[in-house]
Formats: sequence, C-alpha cells, structure tokens
Amino acid sequence: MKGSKEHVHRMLDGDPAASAELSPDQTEELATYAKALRGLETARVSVPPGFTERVMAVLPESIDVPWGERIRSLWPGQGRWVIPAVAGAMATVLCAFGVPLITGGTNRPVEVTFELHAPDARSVELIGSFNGWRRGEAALQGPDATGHWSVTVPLDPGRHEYLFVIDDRQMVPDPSASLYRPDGFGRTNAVIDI
Amino acid sequence: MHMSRMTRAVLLMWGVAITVSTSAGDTVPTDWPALQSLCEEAGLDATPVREIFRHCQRERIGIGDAHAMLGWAIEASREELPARPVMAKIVEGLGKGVPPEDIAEVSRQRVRHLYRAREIIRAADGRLAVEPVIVAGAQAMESGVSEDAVRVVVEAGRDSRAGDLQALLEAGEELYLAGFGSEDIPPMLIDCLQRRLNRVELRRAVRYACQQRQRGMEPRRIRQALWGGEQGSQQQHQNREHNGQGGGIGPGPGGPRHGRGRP
Repeated sequence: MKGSKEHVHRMLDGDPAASAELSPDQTEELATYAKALRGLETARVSVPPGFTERVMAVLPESIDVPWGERIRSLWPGQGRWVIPAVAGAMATVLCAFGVPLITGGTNRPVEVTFELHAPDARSVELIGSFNGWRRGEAALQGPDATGHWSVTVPLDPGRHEYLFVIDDRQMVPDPSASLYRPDGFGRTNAVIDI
Repeated sequence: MHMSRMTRAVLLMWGVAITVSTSAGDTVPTDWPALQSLCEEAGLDATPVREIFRHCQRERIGIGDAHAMLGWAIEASREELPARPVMAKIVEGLGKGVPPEDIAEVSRQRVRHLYRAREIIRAADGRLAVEPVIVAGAQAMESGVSEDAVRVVVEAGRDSRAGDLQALLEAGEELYLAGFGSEDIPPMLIDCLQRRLNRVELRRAVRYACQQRQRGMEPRRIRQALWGGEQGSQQQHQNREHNGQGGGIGPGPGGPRHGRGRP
C-alpha cells in the first residue's frame, strides 16, 4: 500500500479525505482489519474444561526467596518502611503507656487469694495498700466448714502491705504471710511480694 | 543506731530548715479549698489528696490537722522527693483510724528517711537516685536497717542498674525484718552481688536466708550454708560460669510458704 503510513496518520487524525483516497481494495482490507480489531476488544475467550486445575497443578506452592532478599525487602528502599514503621509504633506505645523500665516485668495484675482461719468471726475484711486501706471493698467469704474465710483480688506486681479486719474492729496481720513490716503506728502489716 | 557527728549535724540542720519552712513559709489554710490549692501548687497527685480529704471530712478532722499531715507531702514535693509514699502513709493512717498527730509524725519521719536515702544514693551515683530506689532505701531505714548499712549496700551496688539496686535494698529490708542485724546485711548482699545473682536468684537466696534465720541459724552459718565457705563458693561460682550455667544458687528456699497468687 503506497503511502499507507501517511494515510494511516491522516485517518487517525480524523481527516475524512484520507478515507476517500483509498482504493476499493484498500477500503475493503481496512474494513476487515477494523472488524478483527473490534472482535479482539469484545471477544470472550472460553478456556477448555480443566484448564485452571492443570495450570494450578504445575505452579509451585511457594516461591523460594532467599532470607537475605526477604529482609532487604522490608528495609527502606523500594518504597518500603515496614521495620522502621513497626519500631516507631512500638516506641510510641511504650512511651504512651509508661511501661516501667526499672522493674522490667509485665504489669499485668495477678489474682491473689487471701485466706484466714477465723471460725468464730462474724465478718472478715481485707484492707491494704492496694485498695487505699478502705473498708467495705474486699470482704472475705466464709466461714467454710473448716472455719476459713477467703477472698481473691487482682494485685499489680510489686510489694503490698495488708491487714485483715475482723468483726469490723480488730486488725490483724495475715498469720501465714512470709514477711511483716512495722507500720510506724504501733501495728505490724503483713507484706506480700507479687 | 550508729550515726556520725556529721550525719547528726546534717539531719538536725535539715530538720530545723524544714520545720522553719513549713511553719513560717505556709500559713495554715483556713478552709479546704485553700489547702487544696496548696496541694495543687506543690504538684501533689490529685487522687490521694482527694482520698485524704474524703477521710478527713468523714472523720471530722479539722483543717489544721489535715494541713499538719499533708504539709509533709507538700514539703516532700517541694524538696523534689517522692511525695506519693508520704501520702500513702497518710491514707494508711486514716484508714486505720490513727490520730492525725501520729500520722503527721510518721509522715515527718518518712520524709526524713526519703531525704537521707536520696542523699546516700546521690553520693554513690546520681543516676540511681530515682523514685523506686529512693523509696526502697527509705523503707529499709524505716524498718530499722541502719543508715550505715544502707550506705554500704548502695556503694557496693553503685554499678548496678536502678532496678537491681532497688531489689538489693528491698532484700536488705527483708533480711532485717527476718532477724538479721544491720551489720549482717551488707556482707550477705555483697556475697550476692559478687556472684552476680539476678533478681530471681537474689530473691531465692534471701528467702532461704530468712527462713534459716527464723529457725535460729546464725548469719555467718547461713552464708556458709549458701555459699559453702569462701573458697568453696568461689570455686562453685567459677565452675558455674565455666559450665555456662547461670541459674541456681546453693540450696533452694525449701519451697515458698505461699506460691505465686496465694499468700
């Protein structure tokens, strides 16, 4: 097709005269190509039965990427900031929640059961540094058949001092505590380390 | 309690200074809002202050008595000492129905111990003078451990991290409360330091020592039982390091009297 390149450009530029300059054969050929092009754009190609299963069967389950490559892919570069972003987020959380750096341990409360053998008591209460030495917050349940009273309370890790209040008047330290400390007021507190 | 003349002089001067500053610097507030303003100006934590106010009003404690108690927390805060343990003592006293004047006196003593503990720790290494360590030192002295013993332990542990020194001071107090004399505490804890016990190992060693002391064993014999004599202990320590075993020290504590979560 002589001068076809120029013709094509003129036709693409929307010059109606370009089409008029084509010979009848060229016009017919062009129509054939145009029809084929439209067919490609709108065609729905159906795959033979079992095609997907066969393709999946030959694909490997995982692609073996070397560890060095994987770690490099997490580091800045290639537009990725995964490690710095995670580290930054963790530092923010640590600062925001004041994670204790001195004690080093977790700060989750621990369920602690306090028991007292007082078969004749009418009521037993637990007061301590963990509840502001307030009455009416931690009543022991009991007595059971053996004369024991008990209560379970959540305590933060650390050292706590406490007493039992029997019948709303008598304060006694826990006889089973492993440590006692004078309270400065003439009494002795039981001490528990969590 | 043994105290050098210099220590006595410093304590006396400081006591006088605080008494003068609290009595002359602050006029006693005439109403609760004025006392609250004083507390706020001193930067006291609002929660325990509210708790103390509630107690005072419920027990009909006058503003003068309330100020006498809280004045020590205010003073601690102004001196940049931990004020929380002072307020905790006030709350404890009120919860137990202790007369306000006794609470004020115990609070004064607590501030004095906090001050002394901070001075001792600062002298060893200023970076260690953080609240938990200061409080542990003060509580040890409050329980009866001599200032000299606290000083020796702090000096010995000056290369430790703050948390480790705190644990060491708490261990010293525990030993004292179990019947060790103040003079027996530093050697026992220095043994632990030299063997680089971690906090769990330290706790086990102290528990064991306390149990043996309560059974009547002499401190010197307890150390021997723990370390097997100086030579033996050094050899054991070297062997342990050589074998790459960091854990375990001497005999176990014989089982705690209460497990974790059950006193």
